[in-house]
Amino acid sequence: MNGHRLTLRQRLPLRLDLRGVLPGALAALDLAAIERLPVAHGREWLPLAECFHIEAFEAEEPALHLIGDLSRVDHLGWGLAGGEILVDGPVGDHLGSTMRAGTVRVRGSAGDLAGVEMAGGELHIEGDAGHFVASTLPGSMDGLRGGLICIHGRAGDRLGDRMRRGTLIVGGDVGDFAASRLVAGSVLLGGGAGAHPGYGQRRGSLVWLQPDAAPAPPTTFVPGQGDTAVFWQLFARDLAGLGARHFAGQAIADALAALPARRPQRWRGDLAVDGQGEWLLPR
Amino acid sequence: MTWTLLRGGWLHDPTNGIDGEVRDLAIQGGRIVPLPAEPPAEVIDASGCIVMAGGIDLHSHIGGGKVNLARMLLPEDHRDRMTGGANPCTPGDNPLELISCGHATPGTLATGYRYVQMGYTAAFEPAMLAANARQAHMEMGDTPILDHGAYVLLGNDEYFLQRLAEGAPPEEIRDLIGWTLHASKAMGIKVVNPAGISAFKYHQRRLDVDESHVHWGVTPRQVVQALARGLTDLGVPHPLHIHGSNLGVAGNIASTLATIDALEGLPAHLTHVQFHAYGREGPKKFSSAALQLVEAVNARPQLSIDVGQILFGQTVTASGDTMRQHANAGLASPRKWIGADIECEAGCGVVPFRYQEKSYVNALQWAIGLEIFLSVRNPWQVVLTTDHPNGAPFTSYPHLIRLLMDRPFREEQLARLHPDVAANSALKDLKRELTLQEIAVMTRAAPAKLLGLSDRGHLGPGAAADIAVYRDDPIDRERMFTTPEWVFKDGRVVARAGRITATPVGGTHFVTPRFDDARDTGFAAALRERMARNGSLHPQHLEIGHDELCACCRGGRLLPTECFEGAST
Ligand SMILES: [Zn+2]
Ligand SMILES: [Zn+2]
Repeated sequence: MNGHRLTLRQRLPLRLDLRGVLPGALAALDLAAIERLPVAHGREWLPLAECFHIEAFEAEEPALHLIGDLSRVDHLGWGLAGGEILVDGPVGDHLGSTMRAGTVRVRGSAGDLAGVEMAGGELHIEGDAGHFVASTLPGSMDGLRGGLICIHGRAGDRLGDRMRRGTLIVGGDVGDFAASRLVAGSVLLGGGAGAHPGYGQRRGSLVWLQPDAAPAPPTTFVPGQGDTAVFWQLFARDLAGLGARHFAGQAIADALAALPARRPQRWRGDLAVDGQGEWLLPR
Repeated sequence: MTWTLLRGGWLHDPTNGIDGEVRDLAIQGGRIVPLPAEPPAEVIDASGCIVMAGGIDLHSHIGGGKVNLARMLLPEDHRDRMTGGANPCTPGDNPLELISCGHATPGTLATGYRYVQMGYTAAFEPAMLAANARQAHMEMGDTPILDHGAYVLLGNDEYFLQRLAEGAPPEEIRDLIGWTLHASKAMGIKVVNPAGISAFKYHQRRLDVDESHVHWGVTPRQVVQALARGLTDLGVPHPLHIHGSNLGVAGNIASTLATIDALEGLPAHLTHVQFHAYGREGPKKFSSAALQLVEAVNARPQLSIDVGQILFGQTVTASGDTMRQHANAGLASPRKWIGADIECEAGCGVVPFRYQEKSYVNALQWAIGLEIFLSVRNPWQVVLTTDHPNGAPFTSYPHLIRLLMDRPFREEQLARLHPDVAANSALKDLKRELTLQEIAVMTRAAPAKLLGLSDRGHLGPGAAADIAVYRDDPIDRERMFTTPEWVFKDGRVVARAGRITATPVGGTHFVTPRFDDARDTGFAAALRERMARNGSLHPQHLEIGHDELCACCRGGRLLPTECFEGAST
């Protein structure tokens, strides 16, 4: 049995840490062993079966399906190296952080720190996400290092802080300091943003899919005069493909699909730091 | 009163002239005693083992502001490498060990456990700021098992420089030193880049020994002289602890020798000299001046040194030397650093660094340190340090000991380095292999002597029963020194075969100099007035009393050291 379905028994009184409860790890165990797996609940250890009703199902690749209000469940998909995690319900903090491969999909919202230091794979959040998406663990120099993060709803502050590779797409509005200290990679915003977007942006691309919703570029950004027509065509077609695959039926898919036909206005910054970053406003 | 017999080990006790003789030791009431007549309550069989006093690290950054800044700068150093490098550290299987981790910047708890596990029973923080003394004592008090003490910084604080510039009489400087030691409960005085940290704040980016501070007009030479003189007059056992000018700069051997010259024959301890023994020869204009330095040390029995050996890998450099750390900040790896002034008393620079075998400069630094160890004639003048964590974390001492004791091992390492280093280094011709007795001198007997600790660092009757018992392993000295069979602290077994078995609170060493602070008219009044105007510390809180020290150090024992008799006050 490659797949396991975990149904939350009742609302959790404290935070539950599901670090280590990964599809590949469970696929290697029999059901009784899975039920005994110790997980940290507050300051105590509980057997996994005390929190979840667990059943196995057939699946092609290791898969984990969680059902219930998991908004107090943290570190789900932490360090995921393959397989699939599907959640029906909201989840807590650090969803998919440090994952390297595989897919995580949440049919609900996620807490703070989703996709922190993620290095590969795909993370889909169909609801909203909290603060510090795709940023760093405390003190680290690099946030998201690779992979794809799609957030269908809104996201909080410090989105993509110190991110250095990969693609991050948010359908709705985002909070303050979006793409702050961005080192590299692509951030696509379907809505508007709070204060100080692009603060300390060193390199990387920040694309405003609705230029009218975008704030005025900071004073440390300047209009870019370079010819980017070829780059834009390659980039826009790629993004249109991502839209069709991951956002079918949503407004953002249309915005992405329209990109190749548009011409972006381009700004360079943040000149207060490296100044090698760009804002693209396709009109 | 019951006693414990430690039977049949090979004793290495250089202080008492015992070099690898099979001797029994009697432990009673936390002390080593002459063998009592009645039978022992407990017998520990140490046959086949090397028995030494507990190790004493006389220069290791384990407490105070910059150590905490280093910890905060490198949270990744506190994650668990065993589980992929991202998870927090996990509890071990020993319930006596509270959770603590860190490699280059271990937490206070891990610092205590790791030192004790390798047979060390005391360590001294070399760069405590007077304004930060409480914090430093609290951190060290939080470090379990290990005894500790600190050297307080002077020579860059504005008041000292001002009075020196104004021509204060030597007695006033002496009393200012005495009061600073007393107020901060320190074991000695360290001067860091004499006058240079202050000069940095006046836009000077280097300060040679005979160059004037642009504002105060004093030179490093004057600073060193005044401090060394004052300490000698006070009779403080540990002589001036000098971190010289131009740390890490090619050609700095000139300022190191000039600093020695400035001492005019007064005793001093030159610290982390590896970083101060560079020439400007060769294709890279960076060469070893180890032999010049050693020649100066060999000719002056009143000098002692510790090496500050570098070893390869990730660490962090944490120093009061803002001027030099500012210059090194571009080399930070990972690329982040902290520079700060603290209360206009001294500075603070924290720069993470990775020493690399393939780097010519790093490989040469490695060779220079070993050259110094292997060419100083009298081991009593050299203390084994890596300037933790600046050259390497203290946990690499067993590896360093093997490098010093095992020539083939050393040459194997040398062959892996940047090829130009092996070709140009004197190291390849140094055949010396240090003996167990010499290691015992450099790691316990000499540091105890240099600090004036008459009942530590040796195994004679009356000494504290701080003892490390290593299973002899002539093939792999690294393994031997990594995991002693038994470690005793004040007569109690605190580690057994690498496992912590008890966690008593360590004691605090400090000196008790006699001085005159002319409370209402002299510098004490001036300092209080200055502190009230500019400082963040209430003037009434400048002095740490005995009760408060005891509280800072979690009730650990207070271990005052008397100053030499006949000191002029
Ligand atoms: Zn130093
Ligand atoms: Zn040091």
